[in-house]
Amino acid sequence: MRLSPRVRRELNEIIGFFCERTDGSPIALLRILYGALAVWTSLFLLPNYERYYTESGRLPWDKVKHFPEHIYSILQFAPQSSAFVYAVVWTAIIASFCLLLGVMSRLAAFVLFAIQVALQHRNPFILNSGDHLYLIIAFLLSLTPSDRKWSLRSYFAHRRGKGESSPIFAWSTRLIGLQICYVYLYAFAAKINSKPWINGTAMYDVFASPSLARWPAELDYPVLLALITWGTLVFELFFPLFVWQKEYRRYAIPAGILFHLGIEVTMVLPMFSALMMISYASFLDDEEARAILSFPRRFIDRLRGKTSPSPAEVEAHVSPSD
Amino acid sequence: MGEIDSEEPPVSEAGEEEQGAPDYIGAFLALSRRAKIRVLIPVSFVLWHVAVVLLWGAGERVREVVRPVVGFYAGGLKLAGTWGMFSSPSRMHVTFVYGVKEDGQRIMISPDPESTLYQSLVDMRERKMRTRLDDEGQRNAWGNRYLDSFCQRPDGSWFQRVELESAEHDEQRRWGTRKVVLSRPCFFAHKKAQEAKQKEQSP
Repeated sequence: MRLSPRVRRELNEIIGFFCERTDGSPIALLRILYGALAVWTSLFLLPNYERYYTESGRLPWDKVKHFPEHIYSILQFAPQSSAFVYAVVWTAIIASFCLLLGVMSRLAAFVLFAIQVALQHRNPFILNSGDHLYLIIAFLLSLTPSDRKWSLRSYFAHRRGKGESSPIFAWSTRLIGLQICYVYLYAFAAKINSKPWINGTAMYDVFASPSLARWPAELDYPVLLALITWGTLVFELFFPLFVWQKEYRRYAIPAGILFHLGIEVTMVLPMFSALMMISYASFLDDEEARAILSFPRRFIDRLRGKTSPSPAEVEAHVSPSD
Repeated sequence: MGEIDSEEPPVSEAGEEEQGAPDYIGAFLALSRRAKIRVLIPVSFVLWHVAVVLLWGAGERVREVVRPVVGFYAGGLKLAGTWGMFSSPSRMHVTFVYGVKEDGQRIMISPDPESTLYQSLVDMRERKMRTRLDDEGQRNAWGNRYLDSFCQRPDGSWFQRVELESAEHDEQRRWGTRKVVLSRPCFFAHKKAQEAKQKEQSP
């Protein structure tokens, strides 16, 4: 089969998008941020596991076992056992710490994914979009060696005298980035056909909704509400288009962080905003990720009065033990 | 994950196009058969994943058509989803759980009006579950067992019954009258707890 030069060039561009080589810094940053969120989330399972996932809790097993998807939950093997759920929760906590510190990170991410599948099918009535995305990112993280940099693994490898690791391909990082863009575009497409979003009143209902708003309030500022409503649409449409280009990314990502901080403060959506902000690490290139990862060290050096290396110097001297 | 691995470069940049851009297709064709298989596994996974994500999000009708093939991946493993957050009209219901003592006194249990900051963080998902019970079908399916879980008080005593109360925002944007939509005597939960205790104590 012969491809025309144009088709071949375009195919090469698509493949190049997924096969771009990276030193692993962006995925390491994502792993650390996601790992921190996973630790927080897993620790909060301890005070909650009994009421949400056991027989003595809010939802007994016989109320969910008729869902066909229950076969994907490992909790089906001992649905009456609180001790089994407790063991699963502790496994999640250990896996979260492993991911944060970069110890067997692929296995840790896969374990987190499997546990999330189990818990989410065991009690589907407490979930929001953030939980779903959390599970997807865990799976995609399990496909990539995210502990090549800034991890205990790389630290010990460096101490053993193993040299710089070879670059990796960015395809699973790209899948995470594409997933985030898809979430925004899907949300935009779902809203654009809705009358309240077009006439600028949708945010009135959102802010007044007792099931969504942290402090439900009926705001009577039509201009402000319209600006927030349309601003949300504009953001959801343009963020996925601009975030891939470096010159626009420096504006797109801060805009996204402000957008999600606003949601986090005003809405009750556990995990969703934090996860979206964390996922922005997948859009960064090596240089940007390294600058963020080395920021704490540079900040401490500055406090101590030492001359801190510039991001360019950091780039030139990154060792696996970082 | 076996061969599905981004650790190893799937293609070399042996082939270069005239403009100097890497020719991945040329490089792939130059690979040995075994190396080609190593490349094709992650490529197939990426194509599969992207296709499932797009098909699953393409609407209920498409979803029903593709469910037999991709359902295990999208619905079972939950690796694809729909993301229409805030697009449908917001639920303008609010639900509360009350416990009724022997003397008839009603105490709000959920949300707990006296909860600390830590407790409110722990309870963050409670509202989602309560709100689901606005729906009559859900109430019929698991509402009673849900209310049973509130029957015993933290001090070990028991309520006489537990009630789910709902208030709806009317079209004039006012909170309508609150009404009890589900009431559950605590007799059943109490009896079940006693049986479980006896079972635990018996050799």
